[in-house]
Amino acid sequence: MTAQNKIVVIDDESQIRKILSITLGAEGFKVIEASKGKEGIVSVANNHPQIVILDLGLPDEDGLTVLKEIRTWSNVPIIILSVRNSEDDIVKALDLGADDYVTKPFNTAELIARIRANIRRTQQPDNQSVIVNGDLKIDISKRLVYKNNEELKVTSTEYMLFYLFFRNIDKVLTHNFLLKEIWGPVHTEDSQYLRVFIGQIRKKIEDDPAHPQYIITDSGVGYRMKLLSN
Amino acid sequence: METLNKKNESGELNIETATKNFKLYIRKIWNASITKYFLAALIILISGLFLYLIHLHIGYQSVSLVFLFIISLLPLLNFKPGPIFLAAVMSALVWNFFFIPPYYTFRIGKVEDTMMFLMYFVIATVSGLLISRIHTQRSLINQRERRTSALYNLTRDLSSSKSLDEVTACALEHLKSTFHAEVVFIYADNDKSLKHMAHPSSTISIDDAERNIAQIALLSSEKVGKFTHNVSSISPFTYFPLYTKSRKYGVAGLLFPEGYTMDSEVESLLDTFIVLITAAVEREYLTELAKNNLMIAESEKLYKTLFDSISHELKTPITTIIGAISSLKDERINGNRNIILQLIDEAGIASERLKRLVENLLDITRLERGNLKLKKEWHSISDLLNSSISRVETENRKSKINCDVNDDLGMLYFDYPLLEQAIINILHNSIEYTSPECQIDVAAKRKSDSIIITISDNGNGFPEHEIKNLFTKFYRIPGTKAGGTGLGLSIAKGFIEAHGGSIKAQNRPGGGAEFIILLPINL
Repeated sequence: MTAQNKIVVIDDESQIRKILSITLGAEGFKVIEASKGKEGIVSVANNHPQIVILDLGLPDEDGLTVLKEIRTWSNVPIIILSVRNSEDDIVKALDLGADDYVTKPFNTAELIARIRANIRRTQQPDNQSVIVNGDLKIDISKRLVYKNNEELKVTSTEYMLFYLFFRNIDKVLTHNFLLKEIWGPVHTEDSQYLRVFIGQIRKKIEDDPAHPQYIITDSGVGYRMKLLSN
Repeated sequence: METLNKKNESGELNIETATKNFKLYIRKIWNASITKYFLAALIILISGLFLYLIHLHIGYQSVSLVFLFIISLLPLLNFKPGPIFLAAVMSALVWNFFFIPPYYTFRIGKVEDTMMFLMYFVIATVSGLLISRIHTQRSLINQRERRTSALYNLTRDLSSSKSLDEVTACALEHLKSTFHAEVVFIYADNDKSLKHMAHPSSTISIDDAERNIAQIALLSSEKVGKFTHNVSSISPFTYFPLYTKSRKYGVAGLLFPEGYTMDSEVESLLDTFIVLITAAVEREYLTELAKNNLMIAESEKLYKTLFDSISHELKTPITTIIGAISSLKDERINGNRNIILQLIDEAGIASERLKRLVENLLDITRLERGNLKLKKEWHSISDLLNSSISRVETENRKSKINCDVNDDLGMLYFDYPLLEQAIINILHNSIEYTSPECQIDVAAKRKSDSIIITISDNGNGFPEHEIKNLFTKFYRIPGTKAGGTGLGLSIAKGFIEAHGGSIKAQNRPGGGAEFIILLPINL
């Protein structure tokens, strides 16, 4: 076992920890369990895991507090696991720096896919100038977007959206995050802008904009660019 | 010219109003009943006759003093200035005509008699009028003082009233005693309609027709009925709306006794009463509103806690089961027999937990509805305890439960599944909140006419101040580990009490927790 595939699971329910231990163990991960927030923070600091799975409802501290604490000194991918499937909590967690979320009850295969996607993303170099996803390609140095190697005409706002999505393939981007990145912090309430622009870029890249393949809506949370095989 | 005319007009106008005011004043002063004038005249005539009989003995000059004395007494007998003035004039004339020589003429012989006559006339008039004025003012002051103290008492009692009913009762009492009226209070459901029923403390009831008139007072926010400008002829009642800028609260109806006169003083006192009462009613209304809001907030909080706890309890085992089953599809996992067995075990434990939760919810519903029917039969106590223990042990193989029960405890008449559930719930509680290496002991003994079952452990025990809450529905000691709804112990208590027994919890002197169950033998 190398340090490369350690996972810290912070959840107060022993049953959940156990089932994660068994399944993730079978997938080749070493699972380190923590039942309390403080214990979890210490464990993340000591073990340098590749990924952290964090429950939002913890007995001693709120999961959000734990998340904030870890984010002050580590960029380790954090996947939120919660029985609360209310969008507000998830959005709050994502805006505080969580990378992804899975709501209980979850399918292990889905969780494992998310874990792998998040690990893959952190392993990608930050300075790639060309990123390919399925039929799409972005050339960051030239500020151009291609579909099937044909250049697409995009406005600067649309390009910003493409840039953010390509940079965060398979990661959910909250409405808040997108609005702040593109229009600045004053416009974080105007999610109708976003809907309009998402509609426009879907028209340009999706074969069937009503059933998008690339830009997926996570209802009430945000949008995600799905990773497609090339 | 025009301006001059105008000036003249306005001047005339001023003179006109001044004259009018003066006339009003005069009318007020002289406004006394005719009988009083007659009475005054009669008093002067009778005393004149009496004095005529004795005036030869006392001399005609003393007669004027006696007259003066009589006139100064008149105000005390409630004579108004008009009759007093009449008496003064009459007595002067009588004195002149009958007593001052030459007799039986108005002519006065001596100069000093003329002086005396004139002086007498002035003194009699002035002293009579002055005394009457002092008298009126004194009665005015008395009246004001009565009103002030009535207001003071009302304010004091209203401010010490603690509920809307108390405020109403207090207002009714004060209105009745101060204005001698029968009073009815009808509160409003909203700004537009009155409640159907008058307030039960009202001293008089009203019919639907009267209620409709009261409704007019509420809608118009004006006084309605007798002594007012609105529909005064229809109703014997006077209705006062109780309203502030923010809300209309209701209507107070007053039925004054027959022949009651409403002057402006009474009217303004009554208006002040109504304002004070309205303020008190509003105060109670706002207090009530604040209390209700607090209660709603509390119950919403409770509901949320409950909902969170139950949804957590439901989702955790479901997550485990779905997780385990979905993992079995994974090729990397379903090739490994050892892992498959582990997953199946976990799914099994989760299913048990789910089953227990559902049973608990059903049990608490049965207890809540209060229609728990006991199916009692004869069973042995040691059977009950041993089977409960073995059921708990199959679910939790890690824990060891030590059972010290004598077989000769005999039989008891009870509902087996219910008491078994109660014992299991307590055992679960002990296992859940102690570490695996802790020892759990179950003991039973017979004491006079009851069976005492003790379930104890050597764990950490309870925090002393939480013991009283242990059996409260949905209550969980803050900071305890996840899992559990706070139902198990309250169900156990409910089932035991349904058998006429009792349960209590305490810390053992040597450390650890202890539950003591008492079951009467003649269940």
